[in-house]
Amino acid sequence: MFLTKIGLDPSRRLARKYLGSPQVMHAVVMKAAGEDSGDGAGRVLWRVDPGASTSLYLLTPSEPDCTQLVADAGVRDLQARTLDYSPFLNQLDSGQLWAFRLAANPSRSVAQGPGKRGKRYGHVTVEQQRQWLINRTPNYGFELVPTEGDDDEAAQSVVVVRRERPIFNRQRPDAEVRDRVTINRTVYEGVLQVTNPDKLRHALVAGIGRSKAYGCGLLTLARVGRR
Amino acid sequence: MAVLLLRLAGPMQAWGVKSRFTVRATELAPTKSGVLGMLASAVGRRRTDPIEDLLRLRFGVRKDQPGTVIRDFHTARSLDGKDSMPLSERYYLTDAVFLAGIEGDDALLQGLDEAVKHPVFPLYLGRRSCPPTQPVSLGLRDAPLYDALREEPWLASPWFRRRHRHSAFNAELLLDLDAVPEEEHRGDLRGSRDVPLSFDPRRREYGFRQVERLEVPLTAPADKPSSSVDAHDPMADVEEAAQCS
Repeated sequence: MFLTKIGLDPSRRLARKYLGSPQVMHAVVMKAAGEDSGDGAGRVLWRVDPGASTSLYLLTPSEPDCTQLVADAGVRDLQARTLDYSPFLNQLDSGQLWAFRLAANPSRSVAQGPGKRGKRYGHVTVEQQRQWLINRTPNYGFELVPTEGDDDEAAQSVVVVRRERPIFNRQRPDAEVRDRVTINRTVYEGVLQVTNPDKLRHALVAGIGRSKAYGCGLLTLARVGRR
Repeated sequence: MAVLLLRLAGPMQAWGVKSRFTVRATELAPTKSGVLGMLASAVGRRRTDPIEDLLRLRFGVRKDQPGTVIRDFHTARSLDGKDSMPLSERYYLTDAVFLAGIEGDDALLQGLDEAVKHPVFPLYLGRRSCPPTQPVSLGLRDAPLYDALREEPWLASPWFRRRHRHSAFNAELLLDLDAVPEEEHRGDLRGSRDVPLSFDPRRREYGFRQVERLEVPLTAPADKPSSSVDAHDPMADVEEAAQCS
């Protein structure tokens, strides 16, 4: 797997086009990622971190070709930076502490009766969204570190730092009407402790939650306290 | 002497001085008659009640965000829908924010401040269809009108301040001539017929006043220091791991 960071310049027209629609960004990212970008534990994940400088992170199974993307929407004189992810994945071990950032689409399924497929609803409140992540952490091979001086279960070190609701229309090849897609993108930050490195590796590579094609699911780790 | 400061802002404002017949114009800044009328209605005075005490107040206004003029081609019908009312053109200021100051007797201004916070008749910015946004009263200041209007922080909307973040914004200050200290006179005078002598609808009367135009440079308060570097940098650790292996 390869992790790529691309600086985007929102003052450029194409960058605004890409940032404005998850579907457009998905297409651009898939083009950069190349051929072998299927589903499952080897799929393409991406995330946009806005801020003083807007960064696009890509996680791809093979080395991506970002020249077109950088030429169209990147910060001038700044190249994409691609690094091999495997050495980092291999050094993950139980007990390590990592600061993490995750963009996810927290949702729940509500039963529609026997034999019918459940209907998906997004979690709406910050507390629901936090709880969604807290409940799932055992499956991902990590646990959240409790905040200091507070042994209350709710006081785990994860905060919702940003919430977005991108809405766009999607044309299905087999359908005549365009369906309207709403994504409940929630960005989490916090500190985690590794409990099961294998499960965590899988979560890092395969992503977390729904809407992975549309900028959700990518979990990144950074050393605690690094500035 | 005290100064009552008012924030006059809302989606639309209309300050008419010269309107005649079906063209209802607006000035580019609040008028003395408009603001004194708003204060009188806040106190609960009717149009025929005396306003002599209000006429002694001195008035000044600072254009914190000048706004733009829009035209409304106004069509209306009578309540039963049978007759059409006269077609009129009404002009409004949109997206404007003003700081208005009233200088005068302490006790009177305290009463007006109270009244603006709990008005008897609804407040509006020059025309009944233009309600103000809160807060209208910014309270009393113990300073001359000239200083109070210069020292108050900039009231403009964030988007407007952002537009001027690299250079100071020169706000126009329109003051009653006798409220400007001697040494500050620039001589940029204009007459304005907006001193209300009577609001009585049967014989409205307005007098002249001399208005001096000055400029105040306003700057946005320093932005909170934003860390230009993203604290979360996954690349650094991935690179380190690659070197170690």
